[in-house]
Formats: sequence, structure tokens, C-alpha cells
Amino acid sequence: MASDDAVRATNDDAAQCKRFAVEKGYWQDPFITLLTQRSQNKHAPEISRGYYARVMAMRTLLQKFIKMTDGNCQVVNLGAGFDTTYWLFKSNGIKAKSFVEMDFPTVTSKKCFFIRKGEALLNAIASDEEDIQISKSEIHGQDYHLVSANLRDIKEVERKLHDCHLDKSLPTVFIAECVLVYIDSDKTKVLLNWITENFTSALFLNYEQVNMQDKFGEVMIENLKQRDCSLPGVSACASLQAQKIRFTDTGWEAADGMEMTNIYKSLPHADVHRVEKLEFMDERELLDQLFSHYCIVWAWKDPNNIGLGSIDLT
Amino acid sequence: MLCATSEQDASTQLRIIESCTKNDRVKINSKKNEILLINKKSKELNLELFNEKISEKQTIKHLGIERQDRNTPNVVNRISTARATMYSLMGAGLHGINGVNPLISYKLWRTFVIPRMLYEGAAMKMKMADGSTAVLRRNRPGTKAEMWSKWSDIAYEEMDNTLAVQQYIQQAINKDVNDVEGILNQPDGVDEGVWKYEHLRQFCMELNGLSVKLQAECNPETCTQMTATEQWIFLCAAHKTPKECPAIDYTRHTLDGAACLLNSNKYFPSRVSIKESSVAKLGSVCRRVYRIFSHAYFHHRTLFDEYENETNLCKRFTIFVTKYNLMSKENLIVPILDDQELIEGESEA
Ligand SMILES: C[S@@+](CC[C@H](N)C(=O)[O-])C[C@H]1O[C@@H](n2cnc3c(N)ncnc32)[C@H](O)[C@@H]1O
Ligand SMILES: [Zn+2]
Ligand SMILES: [Zn+2]
Repeated sequence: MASDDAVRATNDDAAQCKRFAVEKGYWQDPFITLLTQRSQNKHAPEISRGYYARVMAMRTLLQKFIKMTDGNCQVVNLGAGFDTTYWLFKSNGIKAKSFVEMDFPTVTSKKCFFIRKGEALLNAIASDEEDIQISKSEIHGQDYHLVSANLRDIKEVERKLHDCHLDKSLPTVFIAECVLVYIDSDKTKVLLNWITENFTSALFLNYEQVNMQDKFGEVMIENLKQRDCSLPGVSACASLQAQKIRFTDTGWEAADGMEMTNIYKSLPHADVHRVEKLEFMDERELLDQLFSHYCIVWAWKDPNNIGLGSIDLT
Repeated sequence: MLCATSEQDASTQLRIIESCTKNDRVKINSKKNEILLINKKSKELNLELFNEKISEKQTIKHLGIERQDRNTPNVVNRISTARATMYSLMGAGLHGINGVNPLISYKLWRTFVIPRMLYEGAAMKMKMADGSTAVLRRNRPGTKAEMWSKWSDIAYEEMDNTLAVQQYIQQAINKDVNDVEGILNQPDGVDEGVWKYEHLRQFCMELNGLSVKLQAECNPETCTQMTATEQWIFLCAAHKTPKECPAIDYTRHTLDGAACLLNSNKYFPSRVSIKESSVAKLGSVCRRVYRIFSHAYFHHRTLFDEYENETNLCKRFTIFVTKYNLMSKENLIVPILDDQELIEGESEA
């Protein structure tokens, strides 16, 4: 059983790393500074480049989905932490009917606090039609919802999504970035099953560890254990195959995926080229190791053939 | 009205007006402008607006008040305005014996006579938009308080001006405020959009009454935020960035905003037919103003009950929004109807 506090702390880590990379110029995100304080920590270029690849690839997939549905869709980010995609997309005119972010209350209450303070964040949520409604740890706007729930508790997840007035017949994408690995595999199964049983058309984008059975994986698990953070979901991260099977076993029509090594190669070359000049990296070995231990897997359920199966990174 | 301390100052301000009016594409009739020199010896001024010289005067009428070059109020003139206002209201029952309830007299005096005396209140001439019906609709001398505005009823078909629906609704309310179903009963021939629109206007007007009552005990120190149940705060949308206004400010700002929207030429250019695209706005106004009821109910219960006993306003509103699907049931958290309590526990809007 992972200590939940240690798991929540992984979000601060992720947000700090993103802010650091943004300030180095890896990608643009005027909103991340409104959600995190600057930290003293420096991060290795490998880390920033890893985040760069992940952020670019996840955004590309999400954007393809929103385009395909012409915005008549919903986005549910599970374990969203301090993710800023809603604001970034909205400021670029990319909109979905609803954007839901879900995390532990300790995380959402911090986010709530920052949103209340951050005019730019509030302004994006404001709409003519609907007043913004705020509690200690939750926010409801016209197209933005921040809710607290424990993803291991499917009843709570269901109740909180109901509060967001989601339309279960609308194409909906579920996102998990480095989240499921912290959750017991059985509980994840329940969650994945619940989605396919309740939503007509759905896409899942999952970014997390892969090939965790080698030496590198062992070291990573050991490191996290020392921070009191175990990975009860790591069994699904044994291989790309194992990652896909967890979806096809829970009612998803099909799944596909790539290791980050290949994803990095598929990113727009000009931008990758620009990024590679930002910071000096004396050897690529560590970066290659990192990339081969993370992957993105996407799974879909598309009975109405709206084309979810054709979404990929090429 | 422009005030300036020097000729140069005045000239600068006039240039600002010229550029603003150009930007906003409004036209100003230069000929209708006049200058009044206050407490200064008259001297030749050379001020122009759109290349027309502005003429100098000894007295100027602004918003109906005469201002003189000594800037002393024309007391005689104003008292006579006040008296005239008073007389014109007598026809409506504003007099001692046999007149309306003294409390109402006082309110009329305060709302109509005093402002006209102090600053004319040009917009408050006691005339209705349609002169002919105004005669019909006036209260007769000696009307008792409880008879105030209980005019003889006219059927909807007989009202042919643009304010017909509004008058029809007000007539029904005046007849029996407890007959909620009757008040909401849509007469044949009335467009549903117009019917909903006019009722909502009426609700907003009457909600001002509740908001005035609320002021007595709902203040920014005690109700620092707009809440109904403890959990949720509602941000006030009347600002550039949504703001955590105190409940009483939220109430005022929201009612002002609603009035503004309902009177806007953009969304509601006509009161005879309502644009399909604007009907959606009505639901959003409903959800906003409903929070005034729910705040009053959960935080000022005695006051709410008193007001509700008199007016049945929340009950009428609840039935109205349900009947026309303007709000979802789970947002209706004030248990005002008999069959409504069931949902109280689980709702949170
Ligand atoms: C490594 S962070 C990633 C945050 C974010 N997805 C990102 O990519 O920046 C993992 C997040 O998952 C959340 N999380 C983990 N287990 C959870 C659970 N059982 N219920 C809700 N949130 C959970 C944590 O609170 C944390 O915010
Ligand atoms: Zn109050
Ligand atoms: Zn306000």
C-alpha cells in the first residue's frame, strides 16, 4: 500500500519539473507559474527533455481527439495534479464541452487555492452563462470542473463525475499521466471497466512506466520505496503488451501504444532540433534509458465509428 | 455636462468628447450645447465642438434643473416642481383623508417628489409609454391602500401595445398574489418566449424588493460570500474577473446584471418576439437570481418566510422554472413545494 501522502507529493515534483523546463524554453506554458512556486532545484537536461516529449505527445493525441469530434466531446483527466492543458487549449481556441480534472482532495484544494488567486486562471473559466462555483477543494464552471475523489473508490468517482453533468453518450477521453501505477491493479481494472460500461464512445490516453522488469525498473521501484512510495500498479507496466492487455481485458475494443523512444523520433523534427540545442547533454545513454522505460498507450471503444481507432502519433 | 476651471481645460475636454464620439460612432448635436460661466465676469469665450461655436448663456437647463450664473439654486422654481409632482400624484391617491396608506404615501413622496425637487429626475415623469392606456391604468382618487393598482381587469386581447404581456402579468399578480398557477397560466396567442421573458423581468423587479429587505440583516461582515449551503461559494459574474462578492453585493450586482441583459438591445431587441438564440440566456438568468432565494432561505430564514408569506415569490419562481424547464430540479434547493423535499439532501448548487 503506497502512502497516499508520498503519492500526492509526486504531483509537486511533476509540476516543479514542468515549470523548470518551461523556464528553460522547452515549451510554452504561461499558466504553470501560476500553479507552482519556483524551486531551488535544478533538473538534469534528460528530465526536461523527457517531460518535453511527454507533454508534446499527449497534447498531440488530445488535440486530435478534440478536432475529430469537433469539440463535441468531454475530457476527464484522472489524477490531473496541476495539469494546465485546459488553460493552454482554451487560450488557443481549442475547446471541449467539458474538461474535468480529478485528484485527491489535498491536491485539488491546493489547485483550487491557486485558481482563486490567479486572475488568468479564473478568467478562462468564467462564462456568460454560468457562475463559477467554488468549495474548499472543488470548482465548477461552464466547461471546467475540478473535483476531488479517490480513484480507488469507484462510487465516489461516479458521484463526482455526475456532479459535472457529463453526458455519457458524448465521446469522452480519459487521461492518466503517471497515475495508474500508484493504484492497485485490481482497482484500476474496476475503473477501466466502469468507463467502458458507462460511456458509449471513449478513448483512454495513458502515459506511464513500461519494461519495468529489468535492472533500471528495479532501481526505480527501490528509489520510490525509499520515499515511502510504492507502486502497486507496476505489474501492468511489465511490457507494452501488458499495458495494452489491461485495456482489452476491461471492455475496450482495442489498444495501441509506443515506447517514448519511438515517440520522441516521431515528434516534429524542427522543434526537436530547437530543443536539443537548449541544454548541453554529454551522453545520450541516460535519456535513452528513460525513454525506453516510459510509454503512451491509447485504447478506444468506438461503436459508432467516429474514427477513434485512427488516432495515433504519425 | 462638462465642468472646467479654465477655458483651456474646457477646450481639452471638448477634444476628448470629439474623439470619443468618433470612436463610438455617436453623433452629438453641437448646436444644442451651451456654456454657463459661473461666478465670473462674462468674457468672450471661444469654444468649439465639431467646428461649431458654443454659445454663452446666463441660465442653463440641465436634466430639467435651471442653473444660473451665480450657481445658486432656484429655490422657488424647484419648490413649484415638487408641488406640481405632488399634485399629479394626488390623482393616484397621494393625499391625506381617504388617500392611500400613509406609509405608501411616504414612499411615493420619497421616490418621486424628493428626487424631482432635488435633481428633477427627468426620467420620472408620471407618464406611461403609451399615453392612452395610462389614463385607464391610473388609480382613482381615494383608492384605498389595498386597492392600490387594482384596476378593472382587461382581457389580454384588449391590450394591444408592446407592454401588454407585462401588464397582463402584473394585473394577475395584483388580483391574487396567492394564485400562482393563475399568474403563470399562459393566455392563448402569447408567444412562449415572450411569456417567459416577461415573467422573468417581473421576477427580477420583485426580487429587488427582497434584496431591499435583505439589506437590513445581510451585510458584508456577516455574509462575506455568496453561499446557500455551507459548501459552495458563488463568484459574482458582474466583474471583469469573477469576484468573491459578499452576498448582498452579489445580490445587487446580479439583479443589475439581469436587468441589463433583459433590457439589452443585442439579445432582446423586441418585446413582441424573442430571438431563439436569446431564450438560452433566460435559463442562465434564472440560475443566477435563484441564488438570492437560496441565500435568503438558508441564512435569513425569518426574513425569507415573512417575504414569502406576503408574496409567494419563491414558490411562483420555482413553479415557473420547472414548468418551462429553465432550471434542473437538483438546483432547486429551497424546499418550497410539497413534493420537493425529497431532493433537498443530495443537491448542492
Ligand atoms: C505523478 S502525479 C501526475 C500529475 C499529473 N497527471 C501530471 O502529469 O502532471 C500523480 C497524481 O496522481 C494522483 N493520484 C494518485 N493516486 C490517486 C488516487 N487513488 N486517487 C486520486 N488521485 C490519485 C496524485 O495525487 C498525483 O497528483
Ligand atoms: Zn446574507
Ligand atoms: Zn459583484
